[in-house]
Amino acid sequence: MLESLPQDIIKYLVDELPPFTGILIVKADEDGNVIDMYGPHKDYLRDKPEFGEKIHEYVPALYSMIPPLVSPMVLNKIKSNNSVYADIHLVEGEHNEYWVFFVDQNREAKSIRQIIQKINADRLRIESDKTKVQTNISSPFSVFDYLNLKVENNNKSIINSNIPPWFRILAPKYSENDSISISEVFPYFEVFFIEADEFWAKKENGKIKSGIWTETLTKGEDIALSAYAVFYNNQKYILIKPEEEVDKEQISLQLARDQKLAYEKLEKTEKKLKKLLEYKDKFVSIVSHDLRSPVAAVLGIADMLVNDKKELSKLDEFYIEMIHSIKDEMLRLLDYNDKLYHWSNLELGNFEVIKDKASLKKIISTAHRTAKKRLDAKNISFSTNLEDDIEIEVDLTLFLQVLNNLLANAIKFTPENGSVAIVVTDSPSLQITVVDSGVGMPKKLSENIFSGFARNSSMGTDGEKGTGLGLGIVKKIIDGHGFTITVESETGKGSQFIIGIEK
Amino acid sequence: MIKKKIVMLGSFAVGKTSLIQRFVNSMFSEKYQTTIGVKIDQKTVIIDNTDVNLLLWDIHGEDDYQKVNPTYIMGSSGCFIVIDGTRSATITIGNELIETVKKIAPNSVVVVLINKSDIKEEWDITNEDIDDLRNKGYEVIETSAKANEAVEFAFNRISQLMLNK
Repeated sequence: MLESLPQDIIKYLVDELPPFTGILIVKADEDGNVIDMYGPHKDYLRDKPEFGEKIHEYVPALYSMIPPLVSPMVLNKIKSNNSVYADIHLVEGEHNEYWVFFVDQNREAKSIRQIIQKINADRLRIESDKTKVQTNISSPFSVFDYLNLKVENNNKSIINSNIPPWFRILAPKYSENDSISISEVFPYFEVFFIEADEFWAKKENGKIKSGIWTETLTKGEDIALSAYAVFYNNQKYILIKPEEEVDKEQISLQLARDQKLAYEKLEKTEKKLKKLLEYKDKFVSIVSHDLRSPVAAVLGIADMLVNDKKELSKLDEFYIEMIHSIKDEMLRLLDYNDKLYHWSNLELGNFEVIKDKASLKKIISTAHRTAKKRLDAKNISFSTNLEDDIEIEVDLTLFLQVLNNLLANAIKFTPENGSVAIVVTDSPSLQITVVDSGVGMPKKLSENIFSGFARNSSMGTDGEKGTGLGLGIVKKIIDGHGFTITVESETGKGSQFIIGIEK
Repeated sequence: MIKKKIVMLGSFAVGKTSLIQRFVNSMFSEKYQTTIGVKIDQKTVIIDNTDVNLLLWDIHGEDDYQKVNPTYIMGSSGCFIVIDGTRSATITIGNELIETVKKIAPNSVVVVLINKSDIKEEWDITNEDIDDLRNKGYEVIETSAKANEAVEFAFNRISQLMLNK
C-alpha cells in the first residue's frame, strides 16, 4: 500500500504528521467504506477492519465524517479503543478517496488528562446552569467546539450546529438555527469578511483561515478564537473554533520577546557604562592636567630651597630633612600625576601608534641607559643576550616607554646585588622578556597586574613607592601595537614579563 | 450612536494592551504578556454631547516574529501609533506603521503616543525625535498606562479629532 500512496498524501504525511512509525493508515471511499489499510491496527482498533465495511463501525467517532466538510480535518485525542487516544486526520485524496491517519497521542493524553477532567467538570457545571439545548446530531461539527454558521450574506447567517459551551457564555441569547449577524457578535469579522468574500467569489470548494483574535468570556477570562471561511457544494460557511495552539505560540513568542527585551536592556546598560567610563577618563585627564602646574610650582619652590645653601645653613637638620622630603614627595606626586594623565588618555584612545622600523639593540641600549642610575643605586647587574641586531616595527617612543616601565618595575622589586636581564628569542616568534631575580609575586596578584588598578601594588625592596599604573600603561601600549604581554612569576623566585611579537 | 474603529499599532511591549486595559477597565498589570492576534474592546465616550462607541482594536506588536496584517487597519477612523519612550528603536517601527496606515486607511486620524512617561528619566527618545514627529503633522501625547497619565485624555482627543474630520 505504501508504494501506491499518492504524492499529495505522502507530502501530507511528511509535512503534517510526526515522524512516528506507529501510524495506522486507512483508505476509504466516499461512503466511508474501507478500501485499504496499512499499519499496526491492533494498536488503535479492537478488531481488524474488513475491506468494504464502514470505517465508523470500528471508530464510532468517524460516523458521518467521511467525506469531511473540510480537508484536512483533525480530530484531536479521540479514544479509538479502550486504552488508546489518537489524533485522527481525515484527508481527501485526488481521486475521490479519503485517507484516515491514526496518530498515537497516548502519552500526551495521559499528561493532560487531569486538565481535561477539570475543563469537563467546569463545562458540566456551566451546562447544568443553562437551559438544556437539543443537540443537532446531523451536523458533523456537533462533537466539536466549532461554531458552524451557514452564511446567507455578511449580515445574516444561520447557526448550523449545536452551541459550543464557549459561545453559550459569550453570546447567551443565541440558540441553534437562530439568525445571527456575525460581525455584530465578532467585530473581528469586519476584516475577515473582506478576505472571505474574495475567496467565496471564486466558487471553489475549499477553505481559508483567519488570524487569531481574542474574546472576553467572563471578567479576566479570555478565549482565543480563529475561523475558517469554507465553500462547499455552492454553500458558504463560517466555522469558528477555540485556538488550542495559542498557548504554545504565546509561550514561545513571549520567551523570544522577553529575551529580546533583556538584550535591549543589556545593550542600553553597556552604552551607559561606556559613557560613564568615558566621563571618568575625561575627568581624570582634565584634573591631572590641571594639577600639573600647581604641583610643578611647589616642586620648583622645594627645589629652590634645597639648593639655597645659605638659607639651609640657618636651619637645623630636622627641617633640612623635611624640605628634602617635600621635594621627594612632590616629585613622586608629579610622576603619579603624569602617569594618571597618560593612562586616562590611553583609555580615551587619545593616542596613535605610528609604527616604524627600529633597531631592537638600540632600544634596549637606550632603556638600559635610562635605568642605569637606579640599577647602580641597588648594585643590580644588567645583561642581554641580544648579539645580532633585530629590526622590529614599533612606535619608538611608546615602545621605549614600555621597556622603561618594565625595567623600572624589575629594579623596584629586585633586592640589592640582584640581576635584571632582557632576553630576546627569535624562534618560532619574537619574544622580548624582562627577567629579574626579585621577590616575585603570588598568582592572584599576577592575574590582575595589567589592570592599571593593582590594589596590592607594594613598595619596592628599597622602599620605592609605586603608582600601580605603570603596568596598565604598558598593557595599553602593547595592545595598541597588536602585541601580547604575559607575566610568569612565583613568590621569592623573581618575575618574567614576556612581550610577544608576531612576525 | 456613532461607531468609530481605532487601531492600536506599535512594536512589541510598548504598552498597547496596557493602555486599552487602563482606559476600558481602569486596570494595569506589571506583567508583560505578549498579545497573540487581535483583541477588540469597546467603550463609549461622550464628545460634545455625542455618544461615540469606540471599537478598540488591540493588534499584536510588530517585530520579526509577527507582522501586522494590513486588513486589520481597514475601516479605521483613528489610529494610535504607540512608542516606548525607553526604546528609541520603537520609533522606527512606529514610522513604518504610519506609512502602512497612510496606504491602507488614508483618512484615519493618526495620533502618536509615547508611553511610559512615569519613567521619563530612562527615556531614550529625545525632544528632537518628538519634534520630528510633530513636524510631520502628527499629534504626539506622552502617556503612562501604569501611572494613568494622559490615557483618558489621549482617547478623548483622538475621538474629538475623528469627529472633527
